[in-house]
Amino acid sequence: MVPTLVAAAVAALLAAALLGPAFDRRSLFLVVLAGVVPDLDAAVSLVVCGATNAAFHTLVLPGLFGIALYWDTTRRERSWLRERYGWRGVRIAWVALASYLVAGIGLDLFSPEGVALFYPVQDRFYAVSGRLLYSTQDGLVQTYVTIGGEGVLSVGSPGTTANHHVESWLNPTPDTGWDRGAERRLTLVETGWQTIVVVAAAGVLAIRGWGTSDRTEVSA
Amino acid sequence: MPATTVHLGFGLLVAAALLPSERFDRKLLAVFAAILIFPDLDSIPGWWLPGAHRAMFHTLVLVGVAAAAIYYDTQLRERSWLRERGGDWAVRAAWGLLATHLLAHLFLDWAHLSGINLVYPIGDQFFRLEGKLVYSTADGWIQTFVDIGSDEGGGTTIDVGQQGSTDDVHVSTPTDPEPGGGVDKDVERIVPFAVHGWQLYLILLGLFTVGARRLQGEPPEQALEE
Repeated sequence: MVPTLVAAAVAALLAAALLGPAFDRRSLFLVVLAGVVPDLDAAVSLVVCGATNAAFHTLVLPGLFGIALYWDTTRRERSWLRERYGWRGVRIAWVALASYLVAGIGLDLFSPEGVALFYPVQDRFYAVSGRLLYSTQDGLVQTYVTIGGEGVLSVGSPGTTANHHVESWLNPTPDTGWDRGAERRLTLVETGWQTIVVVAAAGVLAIRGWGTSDRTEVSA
Repeated sequence: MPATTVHLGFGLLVAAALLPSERFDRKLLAVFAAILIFPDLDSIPGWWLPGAHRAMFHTLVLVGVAAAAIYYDTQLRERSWLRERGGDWAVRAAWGLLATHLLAHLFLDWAHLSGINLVYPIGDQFFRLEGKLVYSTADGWIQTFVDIGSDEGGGTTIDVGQQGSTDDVHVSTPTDPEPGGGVDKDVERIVPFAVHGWQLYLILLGLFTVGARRLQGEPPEQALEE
């Protein structure tokens, strides 16, 4: 899977961009937590075969949460969330959902290892990779999405939970159960661009934190 | 290069994170696009100055000069040109977008292909950031960003991704696909929008962020006062 640190960095950038006046240390922590929680399905894979990038990287969980959130905040006469936590609670809940979907699942969907989007309904992994460019010789080239046999759009798939294993610190081997002898690798960043995403998130948080402390000094 | 489209995508996310209370209206988006696209125009001087792309406008020197100019204008002068023209909005946008240019354009290019010419024209050397940082139970900490070795004479060499100078580094662009000066004729020109999954991801990430910002309701008065 894409390193959890990179997911945390994307989640932090989303928090800074979308929380608005609800942005503070606590809400930042909640949104980053929502972005890294999907990676805990590596622990599930110790019990259920092939659960890494599947059990929590599914659209089913955030889909149910999103429906409940939408129903509570817009359809009901009196929203439980709004009465309890006010405007900030509603904003933080929506941004946390976005963080889960975009930083938690999306980041892995666009990596070669892919995610099982519809687990447990379907156990196939999906991975979007390819290229989109314009060449003066070949015209417009697009290989991210292919049109299948019956006109169905499809993206690449590295396999199913039965035959595709995503390596992680908790479960480096394809089997279930804790392997005592195996080498474990905790990857913080794999490539240059991931490093830059982490650097950018750190830079943005430093600038935002500096700006906030500046403002409180002025008002005090 | 990661295509300009990838810079725009990642830039949208970074700019939105740095300018939390601005509206992403046409005015801000136009200034944003101009600042994010501008560095890649150094592929045009490549017609008569070989190696100019990723050097001339992709340098930390220009960021330093711009920062000094904004600081001088807004803090030291009695009457700020920027503030008179655009008010506090212009000052906030200038700082936010300069930081976006650094984090989302220069740094991302630094990590791609032949990297960027970090301190051109003071020094003429391309640098590329590439590597990984891993902790392994078998091998301990592994990092491949900086490579310290020894040369034949026994001296220490430090490799941080040096790539050569404007004389021998050429990054292909649609306007200047081949090394050397002059306008190329009868060559294949490639305009990349995204290559690999992650580049498409960064584009979609930026579009999502700004779309969400525009859809969000205005915060109530008391939330702003807190």
